[in-house]
Amino acid sequence: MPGGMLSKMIIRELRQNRQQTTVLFLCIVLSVVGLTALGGFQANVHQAMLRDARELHAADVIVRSSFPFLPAMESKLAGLTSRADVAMARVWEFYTVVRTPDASASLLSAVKVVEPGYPYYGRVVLASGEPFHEMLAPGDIVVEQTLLDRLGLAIGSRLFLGDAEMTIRDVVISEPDRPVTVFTLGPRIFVSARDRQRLGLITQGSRVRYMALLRLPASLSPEAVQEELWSAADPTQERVDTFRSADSRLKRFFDNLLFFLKLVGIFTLLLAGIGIQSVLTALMRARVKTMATMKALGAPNRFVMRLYLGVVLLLGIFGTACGIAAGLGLQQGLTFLLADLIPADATFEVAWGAVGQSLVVGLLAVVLFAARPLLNLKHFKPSALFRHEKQKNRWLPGEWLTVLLTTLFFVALVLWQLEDLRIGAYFIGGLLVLVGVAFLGTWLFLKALQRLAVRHLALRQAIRGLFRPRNATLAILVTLTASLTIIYAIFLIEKNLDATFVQAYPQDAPNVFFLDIQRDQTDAFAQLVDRPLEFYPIVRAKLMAINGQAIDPGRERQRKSDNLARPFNLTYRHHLLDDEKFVEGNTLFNPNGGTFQVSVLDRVADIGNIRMGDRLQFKIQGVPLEATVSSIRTRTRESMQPFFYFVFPDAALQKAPQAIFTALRVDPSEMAALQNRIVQALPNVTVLDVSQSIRQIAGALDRFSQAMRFFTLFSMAAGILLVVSSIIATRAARIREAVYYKILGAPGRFVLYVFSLENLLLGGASAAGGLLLAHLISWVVCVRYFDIAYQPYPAASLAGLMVGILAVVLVGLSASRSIMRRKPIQFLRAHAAE
Amino acid sequence: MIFKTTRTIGIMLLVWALLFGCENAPSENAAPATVPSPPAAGVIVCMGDSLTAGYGVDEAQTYPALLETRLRDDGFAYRVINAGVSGETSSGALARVDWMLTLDPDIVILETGANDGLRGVDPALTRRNIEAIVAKLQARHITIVLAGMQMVRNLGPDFTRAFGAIYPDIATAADLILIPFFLEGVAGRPDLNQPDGIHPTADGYRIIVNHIHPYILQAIDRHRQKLTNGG
Repeated sequence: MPGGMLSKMIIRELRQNRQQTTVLFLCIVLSVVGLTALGGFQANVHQAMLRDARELHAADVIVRSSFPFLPAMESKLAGLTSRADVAMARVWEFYTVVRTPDASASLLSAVKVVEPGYPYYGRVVLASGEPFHEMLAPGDIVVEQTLLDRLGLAIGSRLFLGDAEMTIRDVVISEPDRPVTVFTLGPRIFVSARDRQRLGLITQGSRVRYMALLRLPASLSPEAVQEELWSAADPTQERVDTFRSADSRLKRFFDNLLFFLKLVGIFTLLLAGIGIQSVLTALMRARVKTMATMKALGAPNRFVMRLYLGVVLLLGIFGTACGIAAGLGLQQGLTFLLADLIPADATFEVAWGAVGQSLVVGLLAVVLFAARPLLNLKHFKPSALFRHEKQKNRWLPGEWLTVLLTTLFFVALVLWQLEDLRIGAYFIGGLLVLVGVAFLGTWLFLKALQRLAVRHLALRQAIRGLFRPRNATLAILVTLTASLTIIYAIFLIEKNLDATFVQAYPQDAPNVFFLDIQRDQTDAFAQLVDRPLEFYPIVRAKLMAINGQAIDPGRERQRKSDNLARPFNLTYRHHLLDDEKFVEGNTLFNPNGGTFQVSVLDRVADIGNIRMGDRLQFKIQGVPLEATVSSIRTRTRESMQPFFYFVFPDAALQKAPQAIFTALRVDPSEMAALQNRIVQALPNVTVLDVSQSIRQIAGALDRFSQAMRFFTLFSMAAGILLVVSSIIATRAARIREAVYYKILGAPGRFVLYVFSLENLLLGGASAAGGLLLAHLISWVVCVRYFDIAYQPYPAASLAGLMVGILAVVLVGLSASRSIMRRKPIQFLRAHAAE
Repeated sequence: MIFKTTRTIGIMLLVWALLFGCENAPSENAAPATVPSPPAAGVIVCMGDSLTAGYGVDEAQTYPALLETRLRDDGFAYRVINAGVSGETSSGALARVDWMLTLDPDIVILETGANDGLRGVDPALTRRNIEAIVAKLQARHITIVLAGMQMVRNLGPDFTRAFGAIYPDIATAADLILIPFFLEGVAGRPDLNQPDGIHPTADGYRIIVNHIHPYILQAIDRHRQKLTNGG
């Protein structure tokens, strides 16, 4: 067979089935665009997070101790720094009470003595804008604005630190590693390491945090260096962390976000696969007659196979190329959206991994998915064409191999994305179970529907429509359910991540905490603060036993989570807090239950397996107290607001020794004045100013949450488009029903009605099933993997359900519209052969 | 890392962890108030902060528990109650004196103020608080052993001097038995302290009990004299 003929036929095929080939082409392009752009952004965000994590610790590796490093550690450090490309800066942190030269005022301050290298990553920003170390000459110090305000000083003022009189040179606006120690008892003072001896404060009997910050070359892995230093460390004194291992809330958010991005990548991959597969299958199904006709006219098997392989390859290559180009364009074009994230000095980088993946997915998926229908061709008998014989559904070894290859291909891609064999295995296992469940659920749903005796004519016709031969309703339903599951899951996981990490730092989150307010000081305190306040009385106590079963401290300490053997902070009140609701019970305390009742937070109830009516035995500084569990509460959101595991009625704890605690949002400009007022009037009150850390953490969270939202929207949009294209591809094929109705005299409105109902059934079943599965997936990911609380968001879920159903109905109808509008005779003429 | 049922521990917990200590904190009481014990010669209440509560060591290794055993070995059947609260300042201690008095102590070992110092509270306030606590206890004719404290040197010479003077001054003025420095021989030694550098280990507590033992014997002596004089 001449090649010219083949190419002519290929072009003719493409031209004749313009609608379906266009949909397939768009489907491929969309999948590849999604994968390329997402992959590229993922790489960018990953880089940005690594940079932020480094800045958060100002170094690659950090050694810490409460004592001077031991000789073994010192010699290891000396060995490391003998390499020219390893840099080390020592840092000493401690509190001291500074005083003005006239001794009129003093203040507890957080001193940080630094060697010139500090910080290796990030920047200490000064009010003057000058480079940090230039302002930190011997004899000079750089301080936080609060210190100036609280002591009534200005730049140029003198200040006594220990024995040394220093000059205030500048004001520090931010330091990169501030959030590592969230809570500080006083304003920051930076001192040059060259003044360390002069201060006379780092000496025997001092409490100082000794640190060594290391900057490593790219050729040295922080983990390897950490390992090496650990081998020399005395674990009872010295700690070695890398910027990756050190634990912090931000770090946890980064880890979770990174995993989320990988998930989105995989989900997009699966959606792409599902989309291409369903469109291709529909295309092939529509072409079966043509293929058979060709065979009947004497075309060799190989020719027909080559023809269609040519068609899909052409579409695949062209679609993939267009997709990659558009994806890269999109990535570059939208870079400004994530401008905050991407380092100013970083150049636009093509994520070649993502491009490669897109290429492989685009081409290989097309070939693999097309292989089965093409292999089937060999056994297609021309006679079947005339006899309207039903195709025997016998699977050939080649087909099995294709399915196996396709599966392996996707498994490999998933593992590659996750970069973790164990989690990948869990993931794939979970996915298989889910597909099984979706399949079984759909099958049961269809069976039940088939048995249903419906009197309503249109509904009966709609249900019958689902069971007409070659409608492939089961396949369509599974496809739709799977796609919607993925889209809903992305949506739900993002919402939960956002609620846990981002919304915990809203604009009005408390940024200063007051501890140890005494009971007779609350009025005075309220007056000093002059704004609405919630006072939380705190009674320190230990839980001794649950229902007489003693708490075992040894066992409790092995818990990774919070443990029941630690001292707890009890409180008493008779109202729920704004962010609380009941899980069990509908009042905190039973009105007839007496004095000794306790309301328990679900978190601690889970840890201790505590139920309603259980008796909890506490010991409050020597005095025993037993109370019955009268309600179980949960928190509706993660936040900076205080919360309490155990809440008692007033009468139970009012007499117990207690201190009062409160949290406030204070404008940074008022912070110093407020602290001064409070410390002067109530010197026993401890003030924890967290505004700087909160600002830095909230800023980072905010930036990354924007990226997270962008990813979510992007992948959801791509998912929806893929769903739409597969509906169009699969639904258009079975529209001839409309024609028959019309021939039989049904009015157009009836046809529309039947079709709407049919689509509603499809949409309702797949959206409901998808939502259910999505909740399951999201719960597992959030609770088991992210280790965060899971909220189901019922209102948003319902809205999602509605949107899902509506989308299926509208798209389904619009796919049939063109055919419904045609006169029946046109259709019949076109299909006269049948 | 995965597959555990923990949830996010709110940031507030961090506050407690930082200020009061959170993990591995031991029990506060050597003997529950309700459990009947062999006829005791008297009750010694150890009132104090985390150094008394025994932050980070097992209940049996805290100084009140060790002291009770030591006194039994000496033949003194005193019940020693651990009334330490981690993170407590002298203001908190003053506020709970009445509660502590429900334990009906004969002797109180008062160890407080360290947290005041670490938080930079004006030593004058710490002094007033301890004076008030002493006055309340003396009104009930309780024998007091005052645990002297010294502040970490990084807070500056003026502050540490003012802080260190509180204890001998009050002891002299109120005629108390004074342990000059509660952490003598333990403070600042890495081998006797936990990684945080300020809380003693079990070994550290053994040294503390050895060190304070003669002062407690002195207090028992005074208590017995009171009993013979009074009864």
